[in-house]
Amino acid sequence: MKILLLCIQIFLGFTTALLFVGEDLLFTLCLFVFSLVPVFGLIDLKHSFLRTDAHIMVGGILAFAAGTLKILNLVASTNFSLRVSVVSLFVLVLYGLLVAIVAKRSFK
Amino acid sequence: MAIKVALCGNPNVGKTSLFNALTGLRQYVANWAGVTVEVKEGVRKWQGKQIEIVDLPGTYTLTSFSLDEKVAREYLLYKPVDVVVVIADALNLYQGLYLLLEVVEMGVKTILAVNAIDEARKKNVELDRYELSKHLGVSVVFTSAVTGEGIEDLLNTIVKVASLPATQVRVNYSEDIEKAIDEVRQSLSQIELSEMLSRWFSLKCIENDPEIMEFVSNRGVKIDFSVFKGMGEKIARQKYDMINLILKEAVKKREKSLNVSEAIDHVLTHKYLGIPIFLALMYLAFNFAFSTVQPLTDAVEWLFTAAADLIKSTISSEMISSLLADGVLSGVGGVLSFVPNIFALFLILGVMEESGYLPRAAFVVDRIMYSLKLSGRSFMSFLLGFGCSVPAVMSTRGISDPKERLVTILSVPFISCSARLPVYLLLASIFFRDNAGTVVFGMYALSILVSISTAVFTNKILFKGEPSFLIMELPRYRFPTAKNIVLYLWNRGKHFLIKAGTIIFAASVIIWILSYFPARGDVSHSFAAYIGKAVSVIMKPFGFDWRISTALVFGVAAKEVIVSALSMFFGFSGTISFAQDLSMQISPLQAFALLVFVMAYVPCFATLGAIYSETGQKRWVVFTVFYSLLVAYLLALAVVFIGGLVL
Amino acid sequence: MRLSDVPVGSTARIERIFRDSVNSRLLGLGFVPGAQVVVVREAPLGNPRVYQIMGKLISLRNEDASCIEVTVMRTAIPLSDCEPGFYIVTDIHGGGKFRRRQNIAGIEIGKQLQVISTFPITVRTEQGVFRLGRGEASRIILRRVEQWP
Repeated sequence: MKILLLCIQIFLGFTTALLFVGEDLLFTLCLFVFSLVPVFGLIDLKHSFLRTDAHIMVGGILAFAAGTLKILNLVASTNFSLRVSVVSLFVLVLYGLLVAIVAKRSFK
Repeated sequence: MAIKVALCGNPNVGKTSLFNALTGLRQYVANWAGVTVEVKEGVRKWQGKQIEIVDLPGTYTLTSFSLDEKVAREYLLYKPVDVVVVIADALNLYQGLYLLLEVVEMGVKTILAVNAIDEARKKNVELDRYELSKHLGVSVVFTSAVTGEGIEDLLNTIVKVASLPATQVRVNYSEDIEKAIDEVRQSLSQIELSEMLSRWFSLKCIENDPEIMEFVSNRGVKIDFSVFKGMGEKIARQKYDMINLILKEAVKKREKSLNVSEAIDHVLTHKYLGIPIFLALMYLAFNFAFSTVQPLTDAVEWLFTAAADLIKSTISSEMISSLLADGVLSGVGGVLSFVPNIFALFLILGVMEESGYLPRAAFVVDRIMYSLKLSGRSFMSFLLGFGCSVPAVMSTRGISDPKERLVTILSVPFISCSARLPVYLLLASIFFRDNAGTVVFGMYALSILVSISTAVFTNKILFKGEPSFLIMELPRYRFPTAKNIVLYLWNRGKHFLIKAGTIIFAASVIIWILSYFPARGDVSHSFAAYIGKAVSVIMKPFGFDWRISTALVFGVAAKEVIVSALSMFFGFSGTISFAQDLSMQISPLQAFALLVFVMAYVPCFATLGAIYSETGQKRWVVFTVFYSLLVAYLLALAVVFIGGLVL
Repeated sequence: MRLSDVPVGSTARIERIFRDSVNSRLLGLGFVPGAQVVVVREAPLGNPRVYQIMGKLISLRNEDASCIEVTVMRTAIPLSDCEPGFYIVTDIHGGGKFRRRQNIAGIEIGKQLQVISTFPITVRTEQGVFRLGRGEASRIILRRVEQWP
């Protein structure tokens, strides 16, 4: 179950990152780094089922933050249009937020 | 008659939030002579009385090892205070109570405010208010700065306690310590002290507090301090033992849950991910502060240009209109155009600080900074320097070690801020065409080198190369509240506008005067040009004629001005382009020297203003000016010399 | 040994503190003789490290931590003595039946568990969340973890 969540997170993260390669290379790098968080979460799964929750949650929040700031940036520079990369960004942001909220619960 | 209240407590217990909740906007930053530690004061009217509240710096104890502690303690010792409110974190009473005991031993009227009671409740921690009060001997109030609970209660208690006589609360120590205290008190009897204070002073002597020891020996009291070796630790231990006992009685359910924070820490300070995440976050922060906020900056500039045009077209006197439009407005506009970027950077900094991430960032990079005799905390300031030196210098406020703070303030301005970029780009594209990118990158790299060297150099000269220390608490992560962030921005922004703003404004007017007179607008014959011509004499080795030199003089006001100044002198006659005209004057090698000079020489007025306001001393501003000029000149000289040999 | 040498995850008791200039600051933070300190984690570059003392997390450089003389307590402690945190089970004292009962709850040697609360003793394991009595808990030995992949 957690494996699935992590995989989706990794997939969304990397895909969105790649979609921005032409547009904004630095942002791609940024998203890439943030998407490594769930990757390490997968690696950690064997050792510790607990830390996985941490990776999911923090990975989600970071993706949410990066995505939201990028969207703000696009709007401010009037570069905003519903192209594939932007749609992917929205999906990433929503997913990141959702998954972070879900993961947070397991810490209560 | 006003009631004077001092707030003290550990860092990170929500003291500032509580202060904000008590005073709202009626607060301002107080600056005591020569002290650069921030102390806020505010007022609140309650039950018909005027309550003046001082927010003392957060401290763990009242011994004088850090500047914060010194300030807090001095305030309590020398300024008349009616009531002291010690704020402790409901989820970590241990530490807060230690400070409470130290305060209570001074004999002042004290109230204990246990903050974050809402969080404690959520974690099923129950505290018995009555037991706490009984064992500690002070009034106890439960508060939550976030929900507002207990604020009224606290205000009522303040008024009540202020009207009652002080209760003497005594912490009893073991026999050997009590004997030592009596001995010291005998020796101190020649100094006039109240009973509580004499006991407090004795304890501090036994603990080897340097300031107290000095104070005491200055008054001719001779005490053999070596007898007290090891007692300081015992005293601390016994205080904690007492706290343990009290907490056993008063805390009904104990549950320390660092779990969420620990989990987050696992990722954010991860062995491999920690640093990349930090860098990525900083990139996002810069992106936000500079490109996302750009429309606001453009709007401000547009506003001022429009106002300038309006003035030029309505006012008949050419001089007055020029004074207002080119001098005053461009000066004010210059200051205000900084504002969106600076506010954005401070917003990011504020969120990082409030959420608890900032100490983690410092933690992760500390090792790198250690070799520069700095700590992880100043890394943030250096990074901010890439955006703008002004918030970078202002962010040093959070550095607790005063040596490190000064070194950082002096080194940060060398980092190539965004204002120098237009100059780099312009010159690089004209003279180095395809290699422009490499050249610009080289400038940035060089600026980092100079900055680091300055840090090491100033540390050696000023502090004999002593490393700074880093002992910091990693507080719980918490969701930053909008109210606190807004107040934080308000304080910072006001500070910048008032301090740095006045200097920039004054400087702009002066620059205007220099460029307008005596030729009434013809810059080539203005005072500035005369200065430029004079300066160009020493610029001979680089081939900088009076036009470039004058542009450099203007650049002291703000680096972006260099570009517009150059375009005033070169290529405007229409027959040749700017690029051609400029390349006729200097060679690529000399252009490189110019780039290096621009990189290193005098920081803009805004930065100088920030340096003045953060150090409180003119001498550092003067030092920066001369030092940077020297470095710039020598580096440019080196470029021309080595280049001349190689090419 | 010095606090800077204590491995990550272990708990130690402070014996004394050496250098004087940092001394008072450390005292005020709770680093007093007799106090328990846990080594929580270290920075990516090995320095500084995070310690848990008196309910707080404090970051100390190794240079400063080396001024604190400690004795390492049992690195493994019974569940009944544990603070909330993440641990790994190193031993279960008991017969086959006791062990099997614990295994069903996910408490097995080598497996990780999280102590959620000490009062009452509540843990989370792979199998879920469980409450234990003090007697049982004193027979389950744990070691604190914070290992890197």
